[in-house]
Amino acid sequence: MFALAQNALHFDALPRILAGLALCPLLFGIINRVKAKFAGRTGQPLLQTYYDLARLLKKGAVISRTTTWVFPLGPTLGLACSLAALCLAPLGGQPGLFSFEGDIFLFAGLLSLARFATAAAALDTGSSFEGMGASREMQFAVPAELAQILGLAALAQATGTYSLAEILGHIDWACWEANGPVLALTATALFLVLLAETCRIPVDDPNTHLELTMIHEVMVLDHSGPDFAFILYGQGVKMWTLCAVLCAVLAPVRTGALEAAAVGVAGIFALALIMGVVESSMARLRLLMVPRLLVGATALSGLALILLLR
Amino acid sequence: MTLFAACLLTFLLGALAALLPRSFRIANALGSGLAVLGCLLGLAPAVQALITPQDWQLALAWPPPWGLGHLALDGISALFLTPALLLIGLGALYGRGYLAHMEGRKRAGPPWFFYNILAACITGVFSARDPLLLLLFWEGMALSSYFLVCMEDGDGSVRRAGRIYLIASHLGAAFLLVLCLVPGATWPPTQALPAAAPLLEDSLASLASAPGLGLAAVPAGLIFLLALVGFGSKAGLAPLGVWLPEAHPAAPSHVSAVLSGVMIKTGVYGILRVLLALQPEPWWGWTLIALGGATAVLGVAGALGQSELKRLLAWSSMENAGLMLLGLGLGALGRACNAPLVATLGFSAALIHMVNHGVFKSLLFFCAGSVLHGTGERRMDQLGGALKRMPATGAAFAVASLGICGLPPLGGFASELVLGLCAVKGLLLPTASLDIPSLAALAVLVLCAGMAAAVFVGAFGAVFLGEPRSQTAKTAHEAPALMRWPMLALAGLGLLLGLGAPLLLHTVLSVLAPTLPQASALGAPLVQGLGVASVIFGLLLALLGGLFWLRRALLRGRDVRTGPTWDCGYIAPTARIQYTYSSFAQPLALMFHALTGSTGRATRPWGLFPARAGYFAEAQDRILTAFFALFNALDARLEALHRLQQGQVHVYVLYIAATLVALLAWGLR
Repeated sequence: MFALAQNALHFDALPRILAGLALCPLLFGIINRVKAKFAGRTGQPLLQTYYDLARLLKKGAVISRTTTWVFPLGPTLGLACSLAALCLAPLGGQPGLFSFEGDIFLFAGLLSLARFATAAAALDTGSSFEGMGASREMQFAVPAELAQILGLAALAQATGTYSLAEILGHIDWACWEANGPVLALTATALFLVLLAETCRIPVDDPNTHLELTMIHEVMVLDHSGPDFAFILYGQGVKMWTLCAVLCAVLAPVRTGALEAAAVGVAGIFALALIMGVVESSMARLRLLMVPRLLVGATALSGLALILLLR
Repeated sequence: MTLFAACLLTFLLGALAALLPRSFRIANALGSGLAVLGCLLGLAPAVQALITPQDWQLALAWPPPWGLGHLALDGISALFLTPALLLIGLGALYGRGYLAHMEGRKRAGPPWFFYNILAACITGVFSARDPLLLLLFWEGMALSSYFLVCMEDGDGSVRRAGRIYLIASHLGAAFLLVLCLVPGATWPPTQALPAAAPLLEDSLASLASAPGLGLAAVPAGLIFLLALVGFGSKAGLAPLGVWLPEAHPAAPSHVSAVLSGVMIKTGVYGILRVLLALQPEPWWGWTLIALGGATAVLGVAGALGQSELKRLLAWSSMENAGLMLLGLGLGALGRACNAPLVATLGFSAALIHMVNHGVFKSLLFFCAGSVLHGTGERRMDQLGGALKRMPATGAAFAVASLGICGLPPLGGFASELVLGLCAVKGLLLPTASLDIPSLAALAVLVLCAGMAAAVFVGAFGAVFLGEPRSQTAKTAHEAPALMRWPMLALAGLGLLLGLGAPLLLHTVLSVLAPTLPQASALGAPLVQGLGVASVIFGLLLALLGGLFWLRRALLRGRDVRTGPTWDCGYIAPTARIQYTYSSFAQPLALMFHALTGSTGRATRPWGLFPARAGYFAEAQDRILTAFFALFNALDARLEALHRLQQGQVHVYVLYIAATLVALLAWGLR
């Protein structure tokens, strides 16, 4: 009864996961480079995030007197959740390390747990600014999570399968021909969720310097040294994971395992490029407008699901 | 089953024994000790019936008349009874510590008398096999819990809460009275109802004459509706569950834990029995999903607007009852539409969630009681920083909040997964009547999960994290050992429920197997899936441990300083500038203000020399307000009848005589 199913574990996914672990900080570099080009600047080196991580890991830390064990739990649990989500996520339609029926809920649950831990760590400092950030993060997560799950459910319905690996593995050119509008709607919704979850413009501005307008950055104001390195790296892993899922929908190349994975990686970099373009070409939305954008994403996912009802 | 009879008798003995001694301490020890003993005695047959699900009948040498001794345990009874007895037992241990501070102010006997009676009645409800017996236990449960809710009867708001509870529970019981006392009624109900059919024929003839409604179908539908209203009002089903957010916070915390963790489930149990015993029709499922969805969303939205921790927990109980009803609705719909997979998953989701919610909600109420005990403060916005002062309570609350939000790696995630997967599979089936309900169930589930996460991060943060916001919060102290150990035991159980979710699902499937024959086969892939999820949970915990170790190794020997929280250059922060629960929940409460009834009034600073500024926010319970309006309107309309009600005995005798004469005249005609 407790024997694991034959197709639950995919050890061939290990190289893909290692690639994700190694390449994910590069995404920030790409986005920043694109923004620099738009602004006519030279910009940071592509590998800047690696240097930042190395420097942060070497530092000591300043820890608030108010805090308890919840404070270090934020970065560590956040990173652990992102890593576990990476193990679930397929790359280029090739399965992740684990897969089982209904793992879309575990995928969303892990991201939600990371958010819970980060928000609790923010409240642990007793800072009003960090409380504000936590409040906004939890508010925006409600519609974003709804859009994500409904979108993944629409994909499940379009392919007739229930695990992330199978759903994304079944999306190929034929599927696009049959269910083009549904996949396009879902991909749009997932892209908006990607922007919200990774705190990019138009939901959150990672470069803003005013605490009142921040969401994610303000929640981690008090973290320093290795803690902040964990947060930064966790953000990278999360962005990689979400991009990998979206990219598997948008780039349905399923010919060979190696080829598909290569297309997946290329697609993730392309998505980072697009995010850079979005950041360069528009301003952050007013905070009161953000829920409308995310409810709009939910509506798109819901519409995709309704289109599929027989 | 001898042990089962011994369990019931021990509860009765405990009830009486607690009343006898004059000393507070002896009564406290006797009442709680016998309740714990009774639970231990009852757990043995319950677990036995869970392992080998068959009908274990209580055989009495001299069976009492009218089927009053007809008790039996089958898998479903045992599945409800096992967590119930566990929670009641832990509640008794906790209650002993909780009541200790009332020495000299109140007597310990009466609370323990009613607690033991409540324990016996809940055990009886889960095992009764006779409608009259069920009704007796049901009424005993309602009355004993009423007295427990009203323990602090010196407080006017507690008396008011008790009154609302008493009225609501008897309105519900009125429907059960009809359900249980129609001639030929059985419990669990049977499909045909041979004796009742002719009796109901007259009243239902008009209904039955409508095209498309067979006569045989109507009584079953009627039974379902009676059960839905009767049991649903106990389960907290909107709009009948208005009493729940009033009564649960008013009770002492160990009783709140039993009310929320166990008594709500008697309602779920009743509806489940009816759904499994009769052949459901699609509209049953639609009704359940519509009402369950409304309850869930209303419950979690209501929790956003609360300012007291225990009231917030009570609203969250409503939400979770709604999720259980969603599961039952999908299960009923699956049975009605001949989709055994959806039926299996829906019923399993409801049952798994029943177990999980029982554990986590009881734990949360224990923690809330411990905070109340340690600070004497109910309002969250006056608390803060309790984690440093009450480490065990805080850790238990953190675990329970993760569990109640359905987050991995705790038990709550399994129920969310099963319910969500059930809805997604329902969407995929080419049955038209399953589509929209499944979509609605999925949307409600995810919406509630997100909002519950916001509610519980906010509550945990406001009460346990940051700096204390008042003097009472500053002097908080940890609960005594008798209160701490039940909390830690439940927190451990919550972790086990997460890692052992496949085992729980397997048990649930075997319990459902007698009514849903293919259940085990259909659920097997999901059992395996949960097994994989458990492996991932293990990986997650290992990663967490590894990262913690890495962090410690990196920081060893480095310059690690402590300082004040960085407040962006502001040099004189006070504890009052922290985000409170109200401010934390305000954006979401505003988003759902139609449901939360949140209103805010601001006094803005004005002029060159602004004087006072302030902001006042409150959340009104709209359903309760509507009920009050309804009852007031009824009262006004029926005022004319007061003229008949003179209060003088001879006028009443005249009424009786007049009635007799009228009847006589009618008979002689």
